[in-house]
Amino acid sequence: MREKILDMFETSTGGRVIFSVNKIGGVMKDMDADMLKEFVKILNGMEKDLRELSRTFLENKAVNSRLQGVGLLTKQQAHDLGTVGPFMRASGIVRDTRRMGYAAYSDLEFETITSDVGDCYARTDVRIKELFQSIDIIRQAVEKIPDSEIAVPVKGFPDGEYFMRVEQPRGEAVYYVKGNGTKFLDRVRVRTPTFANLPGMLETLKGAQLADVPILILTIDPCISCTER
Amino acid sequence: MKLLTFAKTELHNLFSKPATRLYPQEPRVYPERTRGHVENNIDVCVFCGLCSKKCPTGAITVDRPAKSWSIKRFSCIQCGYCVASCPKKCLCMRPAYTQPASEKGTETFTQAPKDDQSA
Ligand code: SF4
Ligand code: SF4
Repeated sequence: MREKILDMFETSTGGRVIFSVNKIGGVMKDMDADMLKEFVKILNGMEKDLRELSRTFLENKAVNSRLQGVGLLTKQQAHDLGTVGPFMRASGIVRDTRRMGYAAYSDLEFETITSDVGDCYARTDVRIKELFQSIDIIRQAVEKIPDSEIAVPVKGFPDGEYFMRVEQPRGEAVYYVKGNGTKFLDRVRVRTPTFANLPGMLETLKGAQLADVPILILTIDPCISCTER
Repeated sequence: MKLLTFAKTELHNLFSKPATRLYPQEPRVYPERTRGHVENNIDVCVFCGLCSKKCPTGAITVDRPAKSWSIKRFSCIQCGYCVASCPKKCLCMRPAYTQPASEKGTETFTQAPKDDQSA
């Protein structure tokens, strides 16, 4: 299943893992209607397989017994510890940066997916539902995508600073750039979602059984290389 | 009901084609946009050196007097800046990846003297 996704990446951007398709002012490569249609077809097929697969996580007794009631994080804790993304939403906080409507998100319809339980099962549940939500968002986007320029020319060097919040699969990321009017930037800082989720993860680890540790870590879906910077 | 789901998966796995391909016999077809390696049509190159100036990793060296163009394949990150900057459009990005190697070598292409044609 992952291979299909990587193939779509490769067909559209030329890279399987590192896409290098964004540039200042837009993107480097366009996707035509046929390509988009093909992608939607692949996604539709994949959605079916995913439904089948997700039942293992959500309905299987053995899996459920490992997830339910493990690693509880209350709404208050999730808020105090500054968690983001599905980790936060599984504890009942209704927040999704995409709802602020940046980029094309204001034209797309989707609900913020949350759960009130706050355990590992809730996190799994939220994540799985977000998979289907993402497929749905892509389908909507393909339908509504306008035919237009893919990049605007950018001249000169930036002066000033900019701060942007975006929702990534793991949660909210923060980008900060400061320019000084020369070729070199003064500062670039990326606050990755995993970094924000670590305090929350530490809280769930307190007093946990050793056997539950992998699950507790994996349900925040950490990206170590993002965080180790 | 649960048992039936399992049987369905099992039957599917038994009778479906493997997801993998029989690699060397059945070569992989790359999509046309795959960034595999940079190729230089050396006969068209004018050795202006723009590509080496634009290359963020310094992978390209251009020697104008010797009419040679070299690329360190292991330094190249396939960004395509050189391809975009070439005034003669003699550089292009090809989909196939380069061969694995145990040493970081440099590939050099030299233009054959043009005199033969003009003479
Ligand atoms: S930019 Fe093009 S013409 Fe100039 S040296 Fe490089 S390959 Fe040759
Ligand atoms: S593709 Fe990028 S890294 Fe590779 S030689 Fe060209 S400019 Fe340099």
